[in-house]
Amino acid sequence: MTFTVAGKLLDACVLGIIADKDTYGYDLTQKVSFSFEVSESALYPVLRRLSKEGLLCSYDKSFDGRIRKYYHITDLGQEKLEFYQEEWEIHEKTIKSLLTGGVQYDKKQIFKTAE
Amino acid sequence: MTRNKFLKQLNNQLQFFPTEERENAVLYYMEFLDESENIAETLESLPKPKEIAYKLREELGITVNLPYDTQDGLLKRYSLVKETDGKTILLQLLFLAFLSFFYFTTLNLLSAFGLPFKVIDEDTGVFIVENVPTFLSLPVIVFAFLTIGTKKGHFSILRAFNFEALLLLVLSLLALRLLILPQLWDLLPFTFEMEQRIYEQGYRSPLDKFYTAVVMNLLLNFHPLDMFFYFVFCIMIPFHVIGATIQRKKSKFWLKVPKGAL
Repeated sequence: MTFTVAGKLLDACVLGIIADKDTYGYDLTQKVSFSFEVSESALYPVLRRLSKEGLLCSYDKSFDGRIRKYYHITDLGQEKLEFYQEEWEIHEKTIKSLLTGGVQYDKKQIFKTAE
Repeated sequence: MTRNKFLKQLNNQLQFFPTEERENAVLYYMEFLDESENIAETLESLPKPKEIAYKLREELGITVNLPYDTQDGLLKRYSLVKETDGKTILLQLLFLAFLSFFYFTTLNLLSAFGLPFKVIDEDTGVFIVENVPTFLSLPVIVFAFLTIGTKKGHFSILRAFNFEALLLLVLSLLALRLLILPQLWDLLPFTFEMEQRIYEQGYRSPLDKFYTAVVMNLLLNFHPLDMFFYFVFCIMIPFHVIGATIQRKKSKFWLKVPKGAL
């Protein structure tokens, strides 16, 4: 993929996936890398950060003699996810208007779109 | 690389992390590997443990990259080791210079003990000093250089020395030495005449000449009490290195790999 997904956007994606269904590290990586390229090492810091911020909580579940650490979204995480979703809609519109041309020099228009 | 090797390496690379962080990270990657269908392939695709550790350190905002930062007891016990966030190369080089000088001097002195290092030249009536081969101290300097640069192995404690404390210690010992044996003042500034007389044959670099002058002045005015100072240097530093190593080995987090996990 030409565009990289990192930072807050990656946070939002991870939150979105986990909100859908509780998941564990490997599964999450698989799901994310199915949509876009992400290094295996990139997700651990994200999960850790989100957990620290209280957006995710985790619980252990044994599976086939192993222990999996499942991540679950908290209420706070849910709120954050909704916030990200709203933000993304605005962002998407802004980027789209810039990419499709015509309005890129009309700052007022961009702000209007952003609003 | 096998799964266990990878995890062990990762664990070693994360040794500067707080224990909880390190355990969580290692467990995450352990789970990650165990879940994957083809461990060998996943291992191939994963970055090297060193790279992961580097990235984690950056992303987790852990700037401390020196050993033993989390071991309070150790810090208290070994006051020369302190919690600090990465020293500059300059400081390392200064330390290296000190070590080189220290080892050089010590080696010269120790070698000198087995040799007649104080000889009176019958013709001129001055003291001359048996020259200790310079190349003897070369491996020591190389050793010092290598150990300073490396993070691996138990020598990495050298990186964790509290430079200020070390400098203070050296300066205070030197001051004490000057107080107890004031004749050392006469040596300052060092004279080169004697050195020139003895080493007029053959070319020697100015630095070599200066160093020889320093060492010779020390040798010529060697006092039994000086042994104390050299002992402090010779024993204290190895003591810190060995002591800290033992502490570290004890507190090492060993991975519990379930049987038949591979």
